[in-house]
Amino acid sequence: MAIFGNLTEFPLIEVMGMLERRCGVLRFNQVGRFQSLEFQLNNGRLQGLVVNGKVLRDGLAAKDLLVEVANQRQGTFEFQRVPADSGLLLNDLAIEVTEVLLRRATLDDEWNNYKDNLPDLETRFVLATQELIWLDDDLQRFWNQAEPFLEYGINTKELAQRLNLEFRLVQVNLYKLRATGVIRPARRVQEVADIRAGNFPSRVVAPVLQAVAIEAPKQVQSKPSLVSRLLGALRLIGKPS
Amino acid sequence: MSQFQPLKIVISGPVGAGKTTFVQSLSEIPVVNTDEVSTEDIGKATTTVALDFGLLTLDGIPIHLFGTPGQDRFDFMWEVLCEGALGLLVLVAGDKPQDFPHARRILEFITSRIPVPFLVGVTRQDLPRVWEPEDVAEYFDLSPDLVIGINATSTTSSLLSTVRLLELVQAYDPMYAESLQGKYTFGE
Repeated sequence: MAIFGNLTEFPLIEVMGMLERRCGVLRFNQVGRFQSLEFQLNNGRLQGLVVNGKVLRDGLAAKDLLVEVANQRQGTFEFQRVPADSGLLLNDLAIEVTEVLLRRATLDDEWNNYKDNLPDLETRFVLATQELIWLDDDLQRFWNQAEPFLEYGINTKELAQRLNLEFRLVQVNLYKLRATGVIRPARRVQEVADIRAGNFPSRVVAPVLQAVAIEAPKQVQSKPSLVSRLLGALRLIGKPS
Repeated sequence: MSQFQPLKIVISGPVGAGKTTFVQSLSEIPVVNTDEVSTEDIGKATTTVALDFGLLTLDGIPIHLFGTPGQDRFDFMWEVLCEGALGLLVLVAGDKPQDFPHARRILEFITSRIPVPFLVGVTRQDLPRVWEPEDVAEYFDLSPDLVIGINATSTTSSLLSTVRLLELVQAYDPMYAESLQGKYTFGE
């Protein structure tokens, strides 16, 4: 079991998003001025921090360190699962990591920091949850404006146009909303399947999705479908002779 | 000659994920490829610049296998190839997490816009230090049943992943292949 990589490819906000529901130790090597770092995590909360082999118990210093690491794009990491009840994790801190990471610097800094990880301008996003989570003021304002469009699915280009905002700002904010699990990329195949099943994605069905759904063949055939025939043939190949 | 129009499966993913190898493992004809000498350092001597093409015939039904180029500057090919496809398989090397953001970008660009059933294959599962499919699913925000481990050099493993992809197609719409008949024509 290995979750490992380099901050060059995985910004800290994404690593933390991925580990949000896990418990264990995230170890870094050669990140900025730190030779080694250990984040002891429990369901998105930082509860222990070891810097160059020494435990750091000061909450404010720990938050500053998180922001510093979030600005680094060099250094390797590896995550090791540890059961929450193992007694192996420190319990000195209680910092919601995502909250700290959302308080960030200027748009230029953020865009440059995340540019290799930002979604394509034409990738569509939709709401992933109705749950309210903590967002910083700027992101909350953006969210209030963007939410009605995201309900039906929209890409960065269209959203920037609708909200009359710079596309970089929209791209960064969508990236952050996605990292926190508020939105997710749309999956057209799932949307079409949902509509066919009568599970409409939101208050109103987007006309474009209806059109795709209407195109679907409705006839019932008694003979096996092409896909069943393909599957049958593949399974025959897979059988030992 | 088959009474059916050919169907199409697209294999996409970053450079070095095993797309060409996968097509070679399944194809019953010599794979037509457009490999050229790399003009930049991508970790191997040659790379696919337009597409790989292979053919698999199942129960008399021809399936065209298209491998897309892995480099970003050929991204216009992804969409062209995925139009009218029966399914999409996105491959990513499990020992190269540095390629995951690119693979995710490809997958999301295509699947958020085109309703094509898809599967993510994590290759190089035989290596000791490798991301497992369930962890890759977490990174891609996908249900674990949409991500499988593949050994692209093994015909059996490639066939099993094709079975999984077709099962997803069937779950999406049992008559999906019929609905594509005539929408995709190639070499006629």
